[in-house]
Amino acid sequence: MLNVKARQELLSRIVDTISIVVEEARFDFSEDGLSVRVVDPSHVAMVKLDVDAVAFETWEVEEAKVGLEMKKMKELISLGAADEIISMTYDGKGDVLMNLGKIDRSSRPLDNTTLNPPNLPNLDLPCTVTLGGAELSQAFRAARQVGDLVTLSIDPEQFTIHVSGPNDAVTVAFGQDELQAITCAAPAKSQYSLTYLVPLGKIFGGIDSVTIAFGENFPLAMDFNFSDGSGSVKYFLAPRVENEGY
Amino acid sequence: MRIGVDEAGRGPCLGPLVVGAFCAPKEDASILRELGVKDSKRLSSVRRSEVASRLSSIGAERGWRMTTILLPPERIDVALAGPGLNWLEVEGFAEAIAVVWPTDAVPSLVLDACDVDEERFGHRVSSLLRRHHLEPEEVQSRHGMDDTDPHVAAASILAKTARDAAVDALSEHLGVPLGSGYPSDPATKAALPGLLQGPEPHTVLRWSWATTKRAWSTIHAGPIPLRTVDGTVLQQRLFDPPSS
Repeated sequence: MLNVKARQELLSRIVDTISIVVEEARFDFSEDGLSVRVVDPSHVAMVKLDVDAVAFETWEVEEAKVGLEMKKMKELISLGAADEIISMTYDGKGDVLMNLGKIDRSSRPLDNTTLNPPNLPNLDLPCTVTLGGAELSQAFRAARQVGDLVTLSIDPEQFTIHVSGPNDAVTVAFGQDELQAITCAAPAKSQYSLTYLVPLGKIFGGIDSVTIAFGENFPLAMDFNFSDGSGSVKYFLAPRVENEGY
Repeated sequence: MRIGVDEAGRGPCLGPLVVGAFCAPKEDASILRELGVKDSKRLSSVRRSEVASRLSSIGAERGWRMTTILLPPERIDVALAGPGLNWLEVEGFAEAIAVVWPTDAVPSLVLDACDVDEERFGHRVSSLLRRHHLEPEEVQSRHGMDDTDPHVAAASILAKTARDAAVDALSEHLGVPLGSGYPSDPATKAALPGLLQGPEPHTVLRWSWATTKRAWSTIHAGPIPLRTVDGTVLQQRLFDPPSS
């Protein structure tokens, strides 16, 4: 029913990405590839991950939905090197079997019915900017040294990442010519928590192109591809909004 | 002259963190011992207040200088989201020292270190003081100084007394006993839900404390709001959770 083999680095990327948001997830396997949608328990951040079958070394799949614990997968993954092959088999009942070299690990899958993938928010975001993952990840880390609340602001000429702390501030500004692309229907400014963004930066830090879309006090959507375009991540994050009083 | 500095109320989930500073001639250590000055944790709260008021009355005659600096929960939360609690303590210590700094002598400092790295803590306080052109003769920064040094013990008593008075005043103002602010304290445990009913946690709470966050999550669905230099910020959600 399910016989999948992947390089350790691919499986590691998949599990690390999902782990940013949840500890348990339903992996939906189909003939075409893997699809996972997860939202964190407080409904602040969401990940949609799709990996085409061609990214895997072996892909023999009849449709299957398997509930998996990220911690257990990470444990096995951590034992391998990037180019080693990890296999995963499941016959629809009983245990999920994972293999790495001499190691066989079997785990009871989680109850699927409690792991309902969320619907994606329907967003029309007016501003979009594309830049290198390394630059963006570094900007988030720099911002986190001063505070947790980052302000992203955009106008047609510039995209800026800014944090103010009690005694310090960090600003990282990218001009139009330093960006791979920028579209901005109207200048916008919005705040997000770096508690969510910095861990994601570890995932896209090595990616050439990351696209961010957002609007004034709107959720942020981030898109990037990996494995030569056969894998894609879409990430959504709700904003933090200043309290107007009550 | 010798300035002893200590803090009280670092751990609890509510009320201010208080830094006390006490400045007196070195040789007055014997007077302090006679007064019964020792580590504030080893005195009952009644005895502590008595000693604190005697410090202030005798101090008025002898020219001792003393102060307490209250760092409110809001400042603690903002510091924690940024540079960290250790830096806030460094600031609090420097502020308190600047207040009691003698006009006619160069004092030495004795600090009860808050940082795990005692020496680093001393360096940070000194460098902050240097910005205000305050250069002490010597700086000692050690853990457990409140137990061994009478000047630090006096500062410790001032800080602890002020911290208790602040929490008592808050309890009276709110009409609810707040207790020690530790999750093991039944009074604190009983008071927390009432302080978390609104769209924001009550201002007396430290919002970034695990105790506060845990209690918040039993009442509200979303994450606890964040305090920043620019005021309160609420975390929005992508959509409401399915009603259960």
